[in-house]
Amino acid sequence: MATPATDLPASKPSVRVRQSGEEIVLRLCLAALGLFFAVGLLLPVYMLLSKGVQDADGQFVGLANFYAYFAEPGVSVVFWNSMRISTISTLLTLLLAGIYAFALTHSRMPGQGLFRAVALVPLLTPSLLPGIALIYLFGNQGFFRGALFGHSLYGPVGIVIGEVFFAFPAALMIVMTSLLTIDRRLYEAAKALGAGRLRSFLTVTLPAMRFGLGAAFFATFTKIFTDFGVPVVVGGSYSVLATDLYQKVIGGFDFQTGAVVGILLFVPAAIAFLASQVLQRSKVDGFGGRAIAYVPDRNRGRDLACFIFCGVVAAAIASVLIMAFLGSLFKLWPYNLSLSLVSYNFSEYEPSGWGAYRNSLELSCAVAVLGTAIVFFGAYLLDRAPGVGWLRSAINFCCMIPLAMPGMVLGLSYIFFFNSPSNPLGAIYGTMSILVLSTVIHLYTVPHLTALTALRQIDTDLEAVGTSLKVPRLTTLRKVIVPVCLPTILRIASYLFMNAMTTISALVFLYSADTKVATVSIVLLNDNAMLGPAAAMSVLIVATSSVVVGLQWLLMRGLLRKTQDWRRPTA
Amino acid sequence: MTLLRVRKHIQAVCAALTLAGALASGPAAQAEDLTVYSALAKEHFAELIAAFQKKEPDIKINQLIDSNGPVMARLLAEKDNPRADIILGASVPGLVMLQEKDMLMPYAPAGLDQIKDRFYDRKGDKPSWVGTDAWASALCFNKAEGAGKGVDEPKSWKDLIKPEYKGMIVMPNPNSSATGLLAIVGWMKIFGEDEAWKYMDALHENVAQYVHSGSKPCRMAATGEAVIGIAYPAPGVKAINDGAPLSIVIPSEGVGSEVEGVAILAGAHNADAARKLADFAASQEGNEIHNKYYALVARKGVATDVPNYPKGEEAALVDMDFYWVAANRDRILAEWQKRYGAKDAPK
Repeated sequence: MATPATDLPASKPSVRVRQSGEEIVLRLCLAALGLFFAVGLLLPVYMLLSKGVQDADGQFVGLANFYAYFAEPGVSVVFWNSMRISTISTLLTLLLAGIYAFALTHSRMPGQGLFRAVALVPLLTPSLLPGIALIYLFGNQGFFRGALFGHSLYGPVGIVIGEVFFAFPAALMIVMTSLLTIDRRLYEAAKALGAGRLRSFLTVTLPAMRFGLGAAFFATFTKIFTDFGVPVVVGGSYSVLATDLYQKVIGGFDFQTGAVVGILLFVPAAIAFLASQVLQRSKVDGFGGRAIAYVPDRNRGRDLACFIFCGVVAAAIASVLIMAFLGSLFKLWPYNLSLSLVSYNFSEYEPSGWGAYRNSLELSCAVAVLGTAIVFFGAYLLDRAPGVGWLRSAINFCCMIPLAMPGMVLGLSYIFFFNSPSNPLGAIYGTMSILVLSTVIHLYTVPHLTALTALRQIDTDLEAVGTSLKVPRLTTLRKVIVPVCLPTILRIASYLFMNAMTTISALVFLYSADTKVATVSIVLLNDNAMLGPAAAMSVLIVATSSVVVGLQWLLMRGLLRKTQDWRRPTA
Repeated sequence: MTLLRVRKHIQAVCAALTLAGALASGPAAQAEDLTVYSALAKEHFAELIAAFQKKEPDIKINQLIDSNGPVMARLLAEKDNPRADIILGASVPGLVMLQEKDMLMPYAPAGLDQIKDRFYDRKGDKPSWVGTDAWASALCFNKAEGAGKGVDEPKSWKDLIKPEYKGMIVMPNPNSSATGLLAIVGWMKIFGEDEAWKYMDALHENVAQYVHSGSKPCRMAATGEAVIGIAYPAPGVKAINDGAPLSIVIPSEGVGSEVEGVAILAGAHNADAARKLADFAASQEGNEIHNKYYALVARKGVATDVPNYPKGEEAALVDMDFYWVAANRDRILAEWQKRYGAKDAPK
């Protein structure tokens, strides 16, 4: 982009022209990023919100739709179902993840690496997978159906178990981070002051976990409240907002009620998001520059208890995965359990066949490549490039919205926006492009924050030095910043790929016959109670994500050796 | 399927229009172009059109294939500027709705006298739509699970409300499934509306789950997740052929049926070509193709046995009043939702 300029004769005026020319380009890029968010996020969401306050004929009716919704107990029961189930699942997840995190950071039990790895595996699975595995385990024909004491899996019981599996790793990571940042000197001080184990746990560990648990609560609640995959498989007749929305829009073409339900799905998620931001702000950093990392001392009783607890949880996680894999191999469950690959012959069960898996690969690659480029260059523009202040803050804000925006709501708002006859961009409706766009927006926040963190580690003086040496900014970006950030870029790409592979929420509203992806195919297979093929498709997704994570890990090792030498202290 | 509601929200759905870009790319109206919208299964459509083009090699087909709901939504969205000439495989309640909006062009295809009475529109001189095939309600019963739980195969709809079947029955939610709605309007036809609601109140006590899609109940019965599924025969037949211990029951009181058919759009740009296709869909050859995908087809005397397909289905059909269904659909669904929609947990 910037290279032609270097060939110009280096007379003084031309230097100035060259600099400002580049500035214009960068400003234009920032404006383009703003446009990207306007089209991909703001306008669609505006359309959705305005639909929520209109009647069927498009007249403005204020909050009447919402009054009507809550006035009918038979209708609003769905909302309260969602609140109840999400609260219970969240508390349960936090309890398990809290103890698990404590065991990983505050004990010397053996096998920590393995326990950590197993606990993170659910990140590689679509949220449909736990539900499917649970049917094999605890369904009316399940191997361990007696374990539910006569309760049916279908309904609250199944949803809670599935959601805990699904939300566990995210909660674990947040809580663990907070536990790892406890200053060892605090424990030493407590001991010196005569505090016993319990007392130092209550006065040091718990307060330090407070913010971690708070943040984990909001993140987990949002994740569970907006999840579609678990309840659609094991929810039975117990409706929650996400499945209700699916039924209203896909089953009944009732877009009006769909908009209302979509907004109801969005509001608690947005409140949780704001609350976690407030929490973040009030947080006092316990891990100052001089802090010393905590190293647990020996304690056999504690280590044994931790080991048993982690062993049980890890075994439960592993059994869900193993069950899904076995389930995909049964010939005719539950009547013929001999192993066969018939379930992988997808075209027998679903018209798109293996095409859905290929579409998923295509989508994930496109999201990984385009998404990484947009996210990283976007973060660069926001952090370092010139631009109007208000536009910059507006875009910064837009980058955070997707974290609070349920994918289903995004998908629904895309229907309203791109499917409107007056929209010239309507041509992308029903194509792969709209899936890519929605997925990039849906996943934007986390990689964006990762990119910002990496960029902020690089001294801004670099550009100043570059400018004084008449090196265009974009050359600095290309020759210095990108190579230095390569590990981060790789991590972003793999995050995007993995999540594009496993996401379902926005896509379930946006796919067409030619762009059906693997997760959508699982939903349709499940709608037809084709359990084996649904399990098989889930297994494929997990396998693909695992391969990508493995590749990332290998590349990372090579890269770190090649490009990160400068980080090492010189001998 | 879900047409009346679609009508209300049509502005939201206007959907359609933009996608039509694809169709508009070759501006319509060359003499031998024909734009077909179809809700038939892909393979069924492909076979039918291939056979038609063998007869009429000069007609170039522009096609749009989707499920019934989206096809209807598209047609409604394009009401003022129709792009389609003919529609295939649309459900009759939907066609009736188009008919009431004057969107259809009546046409009597060649050989109409060979079409069974219940399969074509008899409101005007010429039918606005002509059926191609039909499907009916049925029960799927898991014999192995039934034996294990000590219950007999139900023979009739009334059997289903016996207390011994408590928690064993799965049926599709009529709000999202045409199969579910069909079962309900069938009961209303058989028992009368008031009795049908009483019947459903009792049935509700035995239902374990109302599920999203119409083929799920039979599949759930096939895997033993449920003992009885209220649905239609096709998914059950496939499960039996795959080896599931299932039987398909045509309840003795009779079953409601839904006809799918062909109609020419008012304002079709290529009405002549559309008539040729309508003729072909009603012909012997066309019906033999339909028969590969449906046991019940429109033309008299076309009935090949499908292995494991339940016997006596056609005799059990009750006369459905499609016009009544179209007019009362929204009311029935709202009442259903009020009575059974808030079912908290499976019983």
